[in-house]
Amino acid sequence: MKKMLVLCSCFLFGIVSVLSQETSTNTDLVVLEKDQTPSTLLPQVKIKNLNGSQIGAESLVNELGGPTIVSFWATWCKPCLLELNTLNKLYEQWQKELNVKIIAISYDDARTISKVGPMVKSKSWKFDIYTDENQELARVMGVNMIPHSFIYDASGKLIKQHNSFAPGDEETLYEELKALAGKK
Amino acid sequence: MNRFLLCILGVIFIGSFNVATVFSQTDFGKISGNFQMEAQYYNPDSIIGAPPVAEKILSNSFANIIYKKGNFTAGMRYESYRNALLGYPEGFSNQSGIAYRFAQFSSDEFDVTVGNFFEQFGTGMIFRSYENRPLGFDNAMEGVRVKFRPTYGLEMTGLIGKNRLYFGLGQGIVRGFNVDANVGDMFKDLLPADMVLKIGGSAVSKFENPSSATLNLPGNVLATSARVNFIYDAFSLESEFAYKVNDPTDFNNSTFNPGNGAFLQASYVGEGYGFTFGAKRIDNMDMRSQRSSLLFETAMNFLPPLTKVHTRRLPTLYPYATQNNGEFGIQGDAFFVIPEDAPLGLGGLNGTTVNVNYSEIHGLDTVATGDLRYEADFGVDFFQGDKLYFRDFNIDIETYLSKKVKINFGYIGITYDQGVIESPGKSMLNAHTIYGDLSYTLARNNTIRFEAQHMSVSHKDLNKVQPINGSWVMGLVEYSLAPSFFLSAWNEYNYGNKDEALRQNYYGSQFIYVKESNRLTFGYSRQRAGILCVGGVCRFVPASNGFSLSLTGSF
Repeated sequence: MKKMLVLCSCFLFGIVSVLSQETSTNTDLVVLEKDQTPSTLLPQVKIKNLNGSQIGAESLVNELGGPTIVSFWATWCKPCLLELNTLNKLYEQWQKELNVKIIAISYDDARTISKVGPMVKSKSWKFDIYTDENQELARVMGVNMIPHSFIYDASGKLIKQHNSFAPGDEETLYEELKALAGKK
Repeated sequence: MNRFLLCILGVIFIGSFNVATVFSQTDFGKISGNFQMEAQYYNPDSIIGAPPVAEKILSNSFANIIYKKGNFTAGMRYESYRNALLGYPEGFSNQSGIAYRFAQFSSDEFDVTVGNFFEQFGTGMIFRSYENRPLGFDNAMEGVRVKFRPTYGLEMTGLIGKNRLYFGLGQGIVRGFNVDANVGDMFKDLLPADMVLKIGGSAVSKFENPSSATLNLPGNVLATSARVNFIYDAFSLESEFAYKVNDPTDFNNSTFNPGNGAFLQASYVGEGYGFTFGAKRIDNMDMRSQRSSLLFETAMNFLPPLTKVHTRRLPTLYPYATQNNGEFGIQGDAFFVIPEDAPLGLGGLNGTTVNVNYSEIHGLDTVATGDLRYEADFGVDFFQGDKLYFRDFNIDIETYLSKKVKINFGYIGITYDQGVIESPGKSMLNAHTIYGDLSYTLARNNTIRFEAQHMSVSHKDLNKVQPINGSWVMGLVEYSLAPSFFLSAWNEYNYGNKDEALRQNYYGSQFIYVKESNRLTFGYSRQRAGILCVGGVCRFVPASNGFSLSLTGSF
């Protein structure tokens, strides 16, 4: 009897110690404190900005401390242009309200990459634009079809990805971003 | 003693839970990837030339799995073609296996990859290794690649290996070296803040044992290129010049001419507008690592056409394919937005987007000089008819009429030398397409879209028309329920075909379900034969009739 009591106590203690470990789930909200450094979002792959300077994708962060959307697009992709045109109209409001940052990475190769800068300028897009000319980053991130967007919370954790855009998707996205930013 | 042992066991048991928890908190890395499966059921349809398929069902599938921890990445891709979809390159048929595997260490200064990899030097004029799964194009390298970045703004790349050829490797050994230097990034404060200057150079060579009993074929073939990119405020200029020593292959009919290429691209941008102008001349710049390769087997470089990518269905009947043996092309684009307060309501609800594009491609004037050589004129007569391969003028306009109504309409006028671009014995033709697209928001997240196209086609030589000829009309309806459901139906009618029996309807319907990054597509279509081109690389797609299923996803 005493042996059983000792054994059971040990097992109970072990179970309690395991259960008391902290766990995190996708639904936990993370909001960065003022002095907290934003986390890395993307893998260590070289991409370029519109001036042709090489940037490590791992260096892209959301300095505002809120959720981030990384969207792969191309100048010839109609649904991609619909998505980014729609988000461009809402971007200023989302930045002020939710500290959202949108990073748009062009999937265009040598045939159409020269149109990226002029098209972006003509549409007055306010996002951070980069190019992935040989699709290195897209390949590592498993991008098969575009538009393909990745949504990260403030800590840099990937929450969701989707690869389509239909009118009305921006409303669903807004509700998701509000939840990630801890707003109702 | 037994109590003591029991306690020890208990402590070990408790301890093991906590050690396991510590291990689970240690970063073991991350596994990610994607997959795609496409299958089609084929019904014979002799009227449209859809052949009977003995297997009834054909399928292409692949899955990528990538493991990443810190600076280390490894991965593989499994592919299966049992058998490959109709029209897919025959070399893949009835095969499956691990077609791609690699291990990579990457840091700020170094990047080393062993196994399979993709790479591009400059614009790809002398070296590009890449993949395009819908086309069946994959010239991945198998070998070793090293990148070295001694300082910010300077990168050197060296590689050696062989190109993929279906589930094997091409004969030739490829060696390459590339340097890219961004002067402003390397030397801070040397250039004004709004100026960028980049210079680069590449050298690529291939070795393949000479195998001809009659020709003195070179075993080593070297190509070099130099490039300068300059940006100052709103103006930018990109240029690349390439030279290749003589490289007789089956594709260029064993010519002993060297090759050369020149590319210039200028652009000027401002708030609400952007203009580009490009010119490209290539003379015998086809490069492949196996002399006997045809189509796009073992391609070593990338020579994209200087033409617009059309996504409207009817003009894709006549897409341009780069003539690697020689062409000279120009292209211009204007992107601008008419502001919303423009007179006559031209600006729509929140601005009207306009894109005007023009491109023209001519063949080079060549004269054979004997000994498998020729002389080529440098220039061509632009805006004249001489050796015109392709011309395209198009305008695309998009605007919102109200919060619920968006319209997109335009015109595409193409001149297309079918005998050069496709195969000899075909006629020059003109195709004029007008299209209109209207989206209406029915209710929150519910949108319906209507699209109509008309393409008027005239053939220069009526004795050389192909089975698919004449004018077309097309209609499409698409309903979307954001974020997950899309349903569409369409019909194309070849009403202008010279042969009344071939005035056929090509109809179809498709249902798409999207859940985050996973997509399921199911449909039925009666599809005309055509050409599928991506990036100027093309393959023939035969006519087909039947159900199709596609599943893609990422994890």
